[in-house]
Amino acid sequence: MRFLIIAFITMVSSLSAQAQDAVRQSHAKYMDHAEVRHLDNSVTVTADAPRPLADTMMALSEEYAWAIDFEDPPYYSKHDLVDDTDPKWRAAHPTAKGFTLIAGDGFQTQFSENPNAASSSAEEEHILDTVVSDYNASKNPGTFNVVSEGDGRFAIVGTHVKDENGQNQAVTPILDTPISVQTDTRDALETIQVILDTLSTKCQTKVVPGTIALNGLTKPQVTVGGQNVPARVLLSQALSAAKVKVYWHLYYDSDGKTYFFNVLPLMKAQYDAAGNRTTVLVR
Amino acid sequence: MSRGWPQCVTCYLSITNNQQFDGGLTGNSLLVWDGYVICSMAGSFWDGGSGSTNLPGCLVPSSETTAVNSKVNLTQTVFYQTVSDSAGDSFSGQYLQEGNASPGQDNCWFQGSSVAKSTSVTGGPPVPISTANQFSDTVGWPPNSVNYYRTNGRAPCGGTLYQALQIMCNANTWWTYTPYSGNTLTSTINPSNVVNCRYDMNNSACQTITY
Repeated sequence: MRFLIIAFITMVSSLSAQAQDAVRQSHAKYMDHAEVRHLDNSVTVTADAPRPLADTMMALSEEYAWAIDFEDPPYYSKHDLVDDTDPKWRAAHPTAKGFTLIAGDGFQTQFSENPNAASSSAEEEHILDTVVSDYNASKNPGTFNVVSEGDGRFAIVGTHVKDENGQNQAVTPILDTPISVQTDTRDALETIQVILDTLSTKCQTKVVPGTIALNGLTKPQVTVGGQNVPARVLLSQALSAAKVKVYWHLYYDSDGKTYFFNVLPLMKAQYDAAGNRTTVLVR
Repeated sequence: MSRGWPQCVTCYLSITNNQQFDGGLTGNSLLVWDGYVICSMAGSFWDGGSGSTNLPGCLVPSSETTAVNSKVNLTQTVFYQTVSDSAGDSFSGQYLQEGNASPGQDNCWFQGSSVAKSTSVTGGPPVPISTANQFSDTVGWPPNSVNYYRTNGRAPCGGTLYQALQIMCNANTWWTYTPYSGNTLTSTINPSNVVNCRYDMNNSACQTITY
């Protein structure tokens, strides 16, 4: 279905109502969240979303209480994005720029499960490598790497996008950008804001707070800073010093050319006898 | 029957008949009741019937009221809460932590949104109650998220979280003093303003911010 949609989008100037119906149908089939199924000695994760890898990582995070950070690459081409404009508006403005959506859809991965998977960072890295490898072999947008952030914490970082010719193009992850922030004691939220502001100025690309875990970040005082330090390192230091169990998902809005830095509380999935799933905060 | 403990020598539990109270000075105490029970911290809360429950082995609030304190970061609201009990005890220095009474809803979010779905409170490290028996709570989306949802045609829209608050009795025991349904925190994005509200166990407060 995704290829069908992309094919339509390449002819965006003559986008038909039929194509828009296909986009709408694609929306309807998205899963609310990725599903994790435990088999005898393996685990299967199924996602269907514009960012299926991000959803997969969120599901793994909740399944094992792992703080897995995630960073979009800056998608821009018709091969990675689909038109998501309201069909009526699009019909009246056939050549105008509308809204786009990342062109991901279905993704499934399977890995063997070790009994100590939840507590072993080596096992976590092995599983993340397997999942990311499966994703990169799929036809979904972007190519990603697993990056160790130290202290057993990992990030899934976008490294390639498709250019307008459909060829892979390497990109520098924005959080790898070295920046200089004066070492000072501030609350954790203000520290994050200072880091994001500095990064925005350095890269000439807006990086702003999205969904932010407010109460956990406004109260702890942290002392963070440094000269020519990757933004990723400064953000990790700020969250670590705040002693709050959170992880971040950095999402790129291709329409506004803006990164949204989302900080989410770490949750753990629990299942009752009937298999019903709930999540609780990890403290 | 009555009891007091170092943190609250005036606290008591008064019962009339057929009660069993297996209490220590810390942790939870099992109360099996059959009749009328008055607790200085919680008031009269059983006036008939029978059953059992755990009582906290420490001071817990029986009331919490909320009020708007200030606007921060253009679109967010700081609320101040005051906790109390019928005995007028001080809770100063006792620690609080927040959790989810139940999953929240975020109807601003959409598939593919660059602002992540918000259905949980933060949690975060425990915070001490001030000498005025107060603590703060911040509610609302950051300004760029408000702009994003408006630009993407989502406004009016809103999010709701159900906050459970726990007070620390000792290092290993937390007592949830908010109702089962929790406090309700809402944030609504309208075309020309945002409205942040906190519905407490005893009252509510809202702030409308033109933005």
